[in-house]
Amino acid sequence: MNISVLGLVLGLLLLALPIYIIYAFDLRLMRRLLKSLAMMAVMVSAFGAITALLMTCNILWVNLLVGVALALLSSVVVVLRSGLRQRRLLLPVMAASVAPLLLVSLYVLLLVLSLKEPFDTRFFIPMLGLMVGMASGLIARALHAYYMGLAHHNELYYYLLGNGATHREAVRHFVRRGFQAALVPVMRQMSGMFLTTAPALMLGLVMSGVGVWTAALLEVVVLLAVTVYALTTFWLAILLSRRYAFDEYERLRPMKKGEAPVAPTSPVAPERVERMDREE
Amino acid sequence: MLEFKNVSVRLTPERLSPAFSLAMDGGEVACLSGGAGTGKSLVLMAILGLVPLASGYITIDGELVTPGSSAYFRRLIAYVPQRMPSVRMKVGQLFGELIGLSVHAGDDLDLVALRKRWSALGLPADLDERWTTDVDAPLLRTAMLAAVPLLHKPIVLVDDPAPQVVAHGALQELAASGVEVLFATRQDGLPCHKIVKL
Repeated sequence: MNISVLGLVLGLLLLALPIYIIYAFDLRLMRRLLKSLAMMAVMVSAFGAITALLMTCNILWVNLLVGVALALLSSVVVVLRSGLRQRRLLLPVMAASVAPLLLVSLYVLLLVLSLKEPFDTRFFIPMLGLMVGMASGLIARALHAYYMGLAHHNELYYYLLGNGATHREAVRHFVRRGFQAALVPVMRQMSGMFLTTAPALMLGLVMSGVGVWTAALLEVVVLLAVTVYALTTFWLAILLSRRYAFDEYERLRPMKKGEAPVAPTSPVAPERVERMDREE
Repeated sequence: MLEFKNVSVRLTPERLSPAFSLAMDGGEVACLSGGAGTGKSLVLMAILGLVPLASGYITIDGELVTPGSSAYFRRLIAYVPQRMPSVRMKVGQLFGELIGLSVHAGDDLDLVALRKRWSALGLPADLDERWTTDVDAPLLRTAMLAAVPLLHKPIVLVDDPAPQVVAHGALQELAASGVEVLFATRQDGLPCHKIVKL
Protein backbone atom coordinates (compact mmCIF):
# COMPACT_ATOMS: atom_id res chain seq x y z
CA MET A 1 0.00 0.00 0.00
CA ASN A 2 1.51 3.35 -1.04
CA ILE A 3 0.34 6.94 -1.49
CA SER A 4 1.54 8.62 -4.71
CA VAL A 5 2.05 12.34 -5.10
CA LEU A 6 -1.30 12.57 -6.86
CA GLY A 7 -2.85 10.59 -4.04
CA LEU A 8 -1.34 13.02 -1.52
CA VAL A 9 -2.74 16.00 -3.37
CA LEU A 10 -6.16 14.38 -3.62
CA GLY A 11 -6.02 13.56 0.08
CA LEU A 12 -5.17 17.13 1.01
CA LEU A 13 -8.02 18.32 -1.23
CA LEU A 14 -10.33 16.95 1.45
CA LEU A 15 -9.42 20.07 3.42
CA ALA A 16 -11.41 22.10 0.92
CA LEU A 17 -14.74 21.34 2.59
CA PRO A 18 -13.81 22.26 6.18
CA ILE A 19 -12.08 25.40 4.91
CA TYR A 20 -15.14 26.33 2.88
CA ILE A 21 -17.43 25.78 5.87
CA ILE A 22 -15.20 27.86 8.15
CA TYR A 23 -15.23 30.65 5.58
CA ALA A 24 -18.89 30.43 4.53
CA PHE A 25 -20.26 30.26 8.06
CA ASP A 26 -17.77 32.75 9.46
CA LEU A 27 -16.65 30.30 12.16
CA ARG A 28 -13.46 32.32 12.82
CA LEU A 29 -11.47 29.14 13.13
CA MET A 30 -9.19 29.54 10.13
CA ARG A 31 -6.14 30.53 12.08
CA ARG A 32 -6.70 27.77 14.58
CA LEU A 33 -7.21 25.22 11.81
CA LEU A 34 -4.02 26.24 10.06
CA LYS A 35 -2.09 26.19 13.33
CA SER A 36 -3.46 22.73 14.19
CA LEU A 37 -2.65 21.43 10.71
CA ALA A 38 0.87 22.76 10.98
CA MET A 39 1.34 21.19 14.42
CA MET A 40 -0.03 17.88 13.13
CA ALA A 41 2.24 17.98 10.09
CA VAL A 42 5.30 18.67 12.23
CA MET A 43 4.48 16.02 14.82
CA VAL A 44 3.52 13.32 12.30
CA SER A 45 6.59 14.09 10.18
CA ALA A 46 8.88 14.03 13.19
CA PHE A 47 7.41 10.81 14.53
CA GLY A 48 7.47 9.29 11.05
CA ALA A 49 11.07 10.29 10.48
CA ILE A 50 12.19 8.96 13.83
CA THR A 51 10.30 5.71 13.32
CA ALA A 52 11.74 5.30 9.81
CA LEU A 53 15.24 5.84 11.19
CA LEU A 54 14.64 3.40 14.02
CA MET A 55 13.28 0.80 11.64
CA THR A 56 16.38 1.15 9.53
CA CYS A 57 18.65 0.64 12.55
CA ASN A 58 16.44 -1.77 14.49
CA ILE A 59 18.83 -1.94 17.46
CA LEU A 60 17.52 -3.25 20.78
CA TRP A 61 19.16 -0.76 23.13
CA VAL A 62 18.17 2.15 20.89
CA ASN A 63 14.56 0.97 20.94
CA LEU A 64 14.65 0.69 24.72
CA LEU A 65 16.11 4.18 25.00
CA VAL A 66 13.35 5.48 22.76
CA GLY A 67 10.82 3.72 24.98
CA VAL A 68 12.21 5.46 28.04
CA ALA A 69 12.28 8.78 26.19
CA LEU A 70 8.64 8.32 25.15
CA ALA A 71 7.66 7.64 28.75
CA LEU A 72 9.52 10.73 29.95
CA LEU A 73 8.09 12.94 27.23
CA SER A 74 4.57 11.73 27.86
CA SER A 75 5.07 12.49 31.56
CA VAL A 76 5.63 16.14 30.68
CA VAL A 77 2.43 16.10 28.65
CA VAL A 78 0.56 14.39 31.49
CA VAL A 79 1.59 16.95 34.08
CA LEU A 80 0.85 19.83 31.70
CA ARG A 81 -2.59 18.47 30.89
CA SER A 82 -3.35 17.86 34.57
CA GLY A 83 -2.89 21.57 35.27
CA LEU A 84 -0.74 20.76 38.29
CA ARG A 85 2.69 22.00 39.29
CA GLN A 86 5.51 20.52 37.20
CA ARG A 87 7.95 21.02 40.05
CA ARG A 88 6.02 18.72 42.39
CA LEU A 89 4.88 16.06 39.98
CA LEU A 90 7.18 15.75 37.02
CA LEU A 91 9.84 13.54 38.57
CA PRO A 92 7.39 11.18 40.31
CA VAL A 93 5.27 10.83 37.15
CA MET A 94 8.39 10.16 35.08
CA ALA A 95 9.58 7.54 37.53
CA ALA A 96 6.11 6.01 37.70
CA SER A 97 5.55 5.73 33.95
CA VAL A 98 8.66 4.01 32.62
CA ALA A 99 8.29 0.53 34.14
CA PRO A 100 4.53 0.12 33.53
CA LEU A 101 4.91 1.30 29.93
CA LEU A 102 7.62 -1.20 29.13
CA LEU A 103 6.09 -4.06 31.11
CA VAL A 104 2.55 -3.71 29.79
CA SER A 105 3.77 -3.23 26.21
CA LEU A 106 5.96 -6.32 26.43
CA TYR A 107 3.09 -8.26 27.99
CA VAL A 108 0.97 -7.58 24.90
CA LEU A 109 3.74 -8.13 22.39
CA LEU A 110 5.21 -11.26 23.99
CA LEU A 111 2.28 -13.01 25.56
CA VAL A 112 -0.79 -11.84 23.66
CA LEU A 113 0.69 -11.55 20.19
CA SER A 114 3.32 -14.24 20.83
CA LEU A 115 5.88 -12.29 18.86
CA LYS A 116 9.31 -13.89 18.62
CA GLU A 117 10.92 -10.46 18.34
CA PRO A 118 8.91 -8.13 20.57
CA PHE A 119 11.66 -5.50 20.52
CA ASP A 120 11.55 -5.25 16.72
CA THR A 121 11.03 -1.58 15.91
CA ARG A 122 7.95 -2.16 13.75
CA PHE A 123 6.12 -3.64 16.74
CA PHE A 124 7.77 -2.11 19.78
CA ILE A 125 7.73 1.58 18.90
CA PRO A 126 4.13 1.71 17.59
CA MET A 127 2.97 -0.20 20.66
CA LEU A 128 4.67 2.30 22.97
CA GLY A 129 3.29 5.18 20.91
CA LEU A 130 -0.26 3.82 21.18
CA MET A 131 0.06 3.36 24.92
CA VAL A 132 1.42 6.81 25.75
CA GLY A 133 -0.85 8.54 23.24
CA MET A 134 -4.03 6.95 24.54
CA ALA A 135 -3.14 6.96 28.25
CA SER A 136 -1.76 10.43 28.85
CA GLY A 137 -5.20 12.03 29.03
CA LEU A 138 -6.44 9.37 31.43
CA ILE A 139 -3.46 9.75 33.77
CA ALA A 140 -3.80 13.54 33.68
CA ARG A 141 -7.49 13.33 34.59
CA ALA A 142 -6.76 10.93 37.43
CA LEU A 143 -4.02 13.11 38.90
CA HIS A 144 -6.16 16.22 38.62
CA ALA A 145 -9.12 14.53 40.31
CA TYR A 146 -6.91 13.23 43.13
CA TYR A 147 -5.02 16.42 43.95
CA MET A 148 -7.86 18.85 43.37
CA GLY A 149 -10.12 16.66 45.47
CA LEU A 150 -7.61 16.82 48.30
CA ALA A 151 -7.08 20.55 47.86
CA HIS A 152 -10.75 21.54 47.83
CA HIS A 153 -12.36 18.84 49.97
CA ASN A 154 -9.65 18.30 52.56
CA GLU A 155 -12.13 18.19 55.48
CA LEU A 156 -12.56 14.43 54.99
CA TYR A 157 -8.80 13.97 54.85
CA TYR A 158 -8.26 15.81 58.13
CA TYR A 159 -11.23 14.13 59.81
CA LEU A 160 -9.83 10.69 59.09
CA LEU A 161 -6.24 11.68 59.94
CA GLY A 162 -7.44 13.23 63.19
CA ASN A 163 -9.11 9.94 64.12
CA GLY A 164 -5.98 7.86 63.66
CA ALA A 165 -6.02 7.08 59.94
CA THR A 166 -2.73 6.40 58.22
CA HIS A 167 -1.93 8.65 55.29
CA ARG A 168 -2.97 5.91 52.88
CA GLU A 169 -6.33 5.49 54.63
CA ALA A 170 -6.94 9.23 54.75
CA VAL A 171 -6.44 9.68 51.00
CA ARG A 172 -8.29 6.52 49.97
CA HIS A 173 -11.48 8.34 48.95
CA PHE A 174 -9.47 10.67 46.73
CA VAL A 175 -7.50 7.80 45.22
CA ARG A 176 -10.87 6.24 44.38
CA ARG A 177 -11.92 9.46 42.69
CA GLY A 178 -8.69 9.44 40.70
CA PHE A 179 -9.28 5.88 39.52
CA GLN A 180 -12.86 6.78 38.61
CA ALA A 181 -11.64 9.77 36.62
CA ALA A 182 -9.40 7.48 34.59
CA LEU A 183 -11.87 4.62 34.17
CA VAL A 184 -15.03 6.49 33.19
CA PRO A 185 -13.72 7.71 29.79
CA VAL A 186 -12.36 4.25 29.04
CA MET A 187 -15.69 2.63 29.82
CA ARG A 188 -17.44 5.19 27.65
CA GLN A 189 -15.09 4.35 24.82
CA MET A 190 -15.62 0.62 25.33
CA SER A 191 -19.40 0.83 25.35
CA GLY A 192 -19.44 3.28 22.46
CA MET A 193 -17.19 1.17 20.24
CA PHE A 194 -18.65 1.22 16.69
CA LEU A 195 -21.63 3.20 17.98
CA THR A 196 -19.98 6.49 18.82
CA THR A 197 -16.25 5.90 18.30
CA ALA A 198 -14.53 4.11 15.44
CA PRO A 199 -12.12 1.32 16.33
CA ALA A 200 -9.37 3.11 14.40
CA LEU A 201 -6.66 0.63 15.31
CA MET A 202 -8.69 -2.37 14.13
CA LEU A 203 -9.67 -0.74 10.87
CA GLY A 204 -6.11 0.46 10.23
CA LEU A 205 -4.72 -3.02 10.85
CA VAL A 206 -7.29 -4.57 8.51
CA MET A 207 -6.30 -2.09 5.81
CA SER A 208 -2.67 -3.10 6.33
CA GLY A 209 -3.46 -6.73 5.71
CA VAL A 210 -3.78 -8.05 9.28
CA GLY A 211 -6.52 -10.65 9.72
CA VAL A 212 -9.87 -9.24 10.80
CA TRP A 213 -10.18 -11.24 14.01
CA THR A 214 -6.60 -10.53 15.02
CA ALA A 215 -7.20 -6.84 14.39
CA ALA A 216 -10.44 -6.89 16.39
CA LEU A 217 -8.79 -8.68 19.31
CA LEU A 218 -5.86 -6.28 19.23
CA GLU A 219 -8.23 -3.31 19.39
CA VAL A 220 -9.70 -4.70 22.60
CA VAL A 221 -6.37 -5.79 24.08
CA VAL A 222 -4.69 -2.45 23.42
CA LEU A 223 -7.55 -0.61 25.11
CA LEU A 224 -7.23 -2.90 28.13
CA ALA A 225 -3.44 -2.46 28.14
CA VAL A 226 -3.82 1.31 28.01
CA THR A 227 -6.19 1.11 30.98
CA VAL A 228 -3.76 -1.01 32.99
CA TYR A 229 -0.87 1.32 32.12
CA ALA A 230 -2.85 4.44 33.06
CA LEU A 231 -4.13 3.06 36.37
CA THR A 232 -0.72 1.67 37.37
CA THR A 233 1.10 4.88 36.47
CA PHE A 234 -1.42 6.99 38.41
CA TRP A 235 -1.13 4.82 41.50
CA LEU A 236 2.67 4.74 41.38
CA ALA A 237 2.82 8.48 40.72
CA ILE A 238 0.81 9.37 43.81
CA LEU A 239 2.91 6.98 45.91
CA LEU A 240 6.17 8.47 44.65
CA SER A 241 4.96 12.07 44.82
CA ARG A 242 3.96 11.89 48.47
CA ARG A 243 7.14 13.45 49.80
CA TYR A 244 6.91 16.25 47.24
CA ALA A 245 3.20 16.84 47.59
CA PHE A 246 2.81 16.72 51.39
CA ASP A 247 4.87 18.50 54.04
CA GLU A 248 6.04 17.07 57.37
CA TYR A 249 2.68 17.99 58.95
CA GLU A 250 0.82 15.91 56.34
CA ARG A 251 -0.50 19.09 54.70
CA LEU A 252 -0.92 19.16 50.93
CA ARG A 253 1.45 21.68 49.38
CA PRO A 254 0.04 24.04 46.70
CA MET A 255 -0.43 21.91 43.60
CA LYS A 256 -1.53 24.55 41.12
CA LYS A 257 0.44 27.55 39.96
CA GLY A 258 -0.47 30.66 41.87
CA GLU A 259 -2.16 28.69 44.64
CA ALA A 260 -1.38 29.73 48.21
CA PRO A 261 -0.95 27.07 50.91
CA VAL A 262 -4.32 26.16 52.41
CA ALA A 263 -4.29 25.96 56.19
CA PRO A 264 -6.39 23.09 57.47
CA THR A 265 -8.99 25.33 59.11
CA SER A 266 -9.14 28.19 56.65
CA PRO A 267 -12.37 28.62 54.67
CA VAL A 268 -12.50 26.64 51.46
CA ALA A 269 -13.15 28.62 48.28
CA PRO A 270 -16.44 27.61 46.63
CA GLU A 271 -15.67 24.96 44.06
CA ARG A 272 -17.64 22.88 41.65
CA VAL A 273 -18.12 19.48 43.21
CA GLU A 274 -17.00 16.82 40.78
CA ARG A 275 -19.94 14.50 40.46
CA MET A 276 -18.05 11.47 39.27
CA ASP A 277 -20.90 9.27 40.46
CA ARG A 278 -23.27 11.05 38.07
CA GLU A 279 -20.89 10.51 35.18
CA GLU A 280 -21.40 6.81 35.63
CA MET B 1 -2.19 13.30 80.25
CA LEU B 2 -2.35 16.15 77.77
CA GLU B 3 -0.07 19.07 78.63
CA PHE B 4 0.51 22.42 76.98
CA LYS B 5 3.49 24.62 77.87
CA ASN B 6 3.51 28.24 76.57
CA VAL B 7 1.69 27.08 73.45
CA SER B 8 0.78 29.50 70.70
CA VAL B 9 0.03 29.10 67.00
CA ARG B 10 0.57 31.43 64.09
CA LEU B 11 -2.67 33.10 63.01
CA THR B 12 -1.23 35.31 60.25
CA PRO B 13 2.38 35.98 59.19
CA GLU B 14 2.39 38.85 61.69
CA ARG B 15 0.16 37.59 64.50
CA LEU B 16 0.35 34.77 67.04
CA SER B 17 -2.37 33.45 69.32
CA PRO B 18 -1.93 34.20 73.03
CA ALA B 19 0.41 31.68 74.65
CA PHE B 20 -1.12 29.45 77.29
CA SER B 21 -0.20 26.55 79.53
CA LEU B 22 -2.56 23.81 80.64
CA ALA B 23 -2.33 20.34 82.12
CA MET B 24 -5.21 17.91 81.80
CA ASP B 25 -5.93 14.57 83.40
CA GLY B 26 -8.29 11.77 82.54
CA GLY B 27 -11.89 12.60 83.42
CA GLU B 28 -11.45 16.34 82.89
CA VAL B 29 -13.25 18.56 80.42
CA ALA B 30 -11.32 21.63 79.30
CA CYS B 31 -12.43 24.26 76.87
CA LEU B 32 -10.61 26.65 74.58
CA SER B 33 -12.81 29.67 74.33
CA GLY B 34 -12.45 32.66 72.06
CA GLY B 35 -13.92 34.50 69.12
CA ALA B 36 -13.44 33.70 65.45
CA GLY B 37 -9.82 33.70 64.30
CA THR B 38 -8.25 33.35 67.75
CA GLY B 39 -6.57 30.05 66.92
CA LYS B 40 -8.77 27.54 68.76
CA SER B 41 -9.04 25.16 65.81
CA LEU B 42 -5.34 25.52 65.03
CA VAL B 43 -4.48 24.51 68.61
CA LEU B 44 -6.57 21.35 68.21
CA MET B 45 -4.80 20.66 64.92
CA ALA B 46 -1.45 21.23 66.63
CA ILE B 47 -2.33 18.53 69.19
CA LEU B 48 -2.90 16.24 66.22
CA GLY B 49 0.49 17.24 64.82
CA LEU B 50 -1.08 18.65 61.67
CA VAL B 51 -0.06 22.26 62.23
CA PRO B 52 3.25 23.62 63.63
CA LEU B 53 3.41 25.49 66.91
CA ALA B 54 4.74 29.02 66.93
CA SER B 55 5.98 28.61 70.50
CA GLY B 56 6.01 26.12 73.34
CA TYR B 57 5.29 22.43 73.19
CA ILE B 58 2.56 19.87 73.69
CA THR B 59 3.08 16.53 75.37
CA ILE B 60 0.90 13.47 75.69
CA ASP B 61 1.83 11.25 78.64
CA GLY B 62 5.14 13.11 78.86
CA GLU B 63 6.11 12.56 75.21
CA LEU B 64 6.47 15.51 72.86
CA VAL B 65 4.02 15.81 69.99
CA THR B 66 6.19 16.21 66.91
CA PRO B 67 5.71 15.45 63.21
CA GLY B 68 7.47 12.15 63.83
CA SER B 69 5.39 11.07 66.84
CA SER B 70 2.04 12.58 65.88
CA ALA B 71 0.88 9.63 63.76
CA TYR B 72 1.17 7.42 66.86
CA PHE B 73 -0.62 9.91 69.11
CA ARG B 74 -3.48 10.39 66.64
CA ARG B 75 -4.34 6.74 67.22
CA LEU B 76 -5.16 7.71 70.82
CA ILE B 77 -7.39 10.61 69.84
CA ALA B 78 -10.99 10.96 68.67
CA TYR B 79 -11.55 14.16 66.73
CA VAL B 80 -14.70 15.99 65.70
CA PRO B 81 -13.82 18.84 63.33
CA GLN B 82 -15.50 22.19 62.86
CA ARG B 83 -15.73 21.92 59.07
CA MET B 84 -17.78 19.02 57.87
CA PRO B 85 -16.67 16.98 54.83
CA SER B 86 -17.78 18.69 51.65
CA VAL B 87 -17.33 15.63 49.45
CA ARG B 88 -20.57 14.20 48.17
CA MET B 89 -20.97 10.78 49.74
CA LYS B 90 -23.56 8.93 51.77
CA VAL B 91 -23.34 9.54 55.51
CA GLY B 92 -23.17 5.78 55.98
CA GLN B 93 -20.17 5.69 53.63
CA LEU B 94 -18.47 8.49 55.59
CA PHE B 95 -18.81 6.57 58.83
CA GLY B 96 -17.86 3.39 57.01
CA GLU B 97 -14.52 5.08 56.24
CA LEU B 98 -14.12 5.88 59.95
CA ILE B 99 -15.12 2.40 61.08
CA GLY B 100 -12.85 0.75 58.51
CA LEU B 101 -9.66 2.43 59.75
CA SER B 102 -6.97 -0.01 60.85
CA VAL B 103 -6.81 1.73 64.23
CA HIS B 104 -10.35 0.45 64.88
CA ALA B 105 -9.67 -3.12 63.78
CA GLY B 106 -10.79 -5.50 66.50
CA ASP B 107 -13.20 -2.94 68.04
CA ASP B 108 -16.87 -3.83 68.19
CA LEU B 109 -17.58 -0.83 66.05
CA ASP B 110 -20.02 -1.06 63.16
CA LEU B 111 -22.88 0.82 61.59
CA VAL B 112 -25.44 -1.11 63.65
CA ALA B 113 -23.90 0.12 66.91
CA LEU B 114 -23.66 3.59 65.45
CA ARG B 115 -27.33 3.63 64.39
CA LYS B 116 -28.31 2.65 67.95
CA ARG B 117 -26.36 5.64 69.31
CA TRP B 118 -27.97 7.94 66.77
CA SER B 119 -31.39 6.63 67.66
CA ALA B 120 -30.72 7.21 71.38
CA LEU B 121 -29.83 10.84 70.59
CA GLY B 122 -32.94 11.33 68.50
CA LEU B 123 -31.15 11.56 65.15
CA PRO B 124 -33.08 10.53 61.99
CA ALA B 125 -33.27 6.79 61.38
CA ASP B 126 -32.36 7.18 57.70
CA LEU B 127 -29.34 9.39 58.37
CA ASP B 128 -26.85 6.93 56.88
CA GLU B 129 -28.76 6.95 53.58
CA ARG B 130 -28.58 10.70 53.19
CA TRP B 131 -25.89 12.54 51.25
CA THR B 132 -23.40 14.52 53.35
CA THR B 133 -24.06 17.59 51.22
CA ASP B 134 -27.79 17.37 52.01
CA VAL B 135 -27.34 17.12 55.79
CA ASP B 136 -26.79 20.30 57.76
CA ALA B 137 -23.49 20.71 59.60
CA PRO B 138 -24.84 20.63 63.20
CA LEU B 139 -26.65 17.35 62.51
CA LEU B 140 -23.57 15.77 60.95
CA ARG B 141 -21.42 17.02 63.79
CA THR B 142 -23.82 15.51 66.32
CA ALA B 143 -23.63 12.22 64.44
CA MET B 144 -19.82 12.38 64.64
CA LEU B 145 -20.02 13.16 68.35
CA ALA B 146 -22.33 10.20 68.83
CA ALA B 147 -19.68 7.94 67.31
CA VAL B 148 -16.93 9.09 69.69
CA PRO B 149 -17.74 6.83 72.69
CA LEU B 150 -17.63 3.82 70.36
CA LEU B 151 -14.03 4.65 69.37
CA HIS B 152 -12.74 4.09 72.95
CA LYS B 153 -10.02 6.73 72.75
CA PRO B 154 -8.46 8.26 75.92
CA ILE B 155 -8.39 11.79 74.43
CA VAL B 156 -11.27 13.52 72.65
CA LEU B 157 -10.95 16.79 70.75
CA VAL B 158 -14.12 18.55 69.60
CA ASP B 159 -14.08 21.71 67.53
CA ASP B 160 -17.18 23.83 68.04
CA PRO B 161 -19.63 21.23 69.40
CA ALA B 162 -23.23 21.92 68.41
CA PRO B 163 -26.10 21.74 69.23
CA GLN B 164 -24.68 22.73 72.58
CA VAL B 165 -27.03 20.97 74.97
CA VAL B 166 -26.78 17.56 73.38
CA ALA B 167 -23.04 17.96 72.80
CA HIS B 168 -22.17 18.97 76.34
CA GLY B 169 -24.15 16.15 77.83
CA ALA B 170 -22.21 13.77 75.62
CA LEU B 171 -18.88 15.35 76.56
CA GLN B 172 -19.61 15.19 80.30
CA GLU B 173 -20.57 11.53 79.86
CA LEU B 174 -17.26 10.86 78.15
CA ALA B 175 -15.29 12.59 80.91
CA ALA B 176 -17.16 10.55 83.51
CA SER B 177 -15.71 7.44 81.87
CA GLY B 178 -12.16 8.75 82.38
CA VAL B 179 -11.57 10.35 78.99
CA GLU B 180 -9.74 13.69 78.63
CA VAL B 181 -12.02 16.01 76.68
CA LEU B 182 -10.89 19.26 75.12
CA PHE B 183 -13.32 21.31 73.09
CA ALA B 184 -13.08 24.62 71.29
CA THR B 185 -15.98 27.01 71.45
CA ARG B 186 -16.92 30.61 70.83
CA GLN B 187 -19.33 30.62 73.73
CA ASP B 188 -18.48 31.50 77.33
CA GLY B 189 -20.03 29.97 80.40
CA LEU B 190 -20.12 26.35 79.21
CA PRO B 191 -19.57 23.65 81.81
CA CYS B 192 -15.96 22.50 81.98
CA HIS B 193 -13.30 21.91 84.63
CA LYS B 194 -10.71 24.20 83.04
CA ILE B 195 -11.04 27.12 80.63
CA VAL B 196 -8.42 28.72 78.42
CA LYS B 197 -9.48 32.04 76.93
CA LEU B 198 -7.74 32.88 73.65
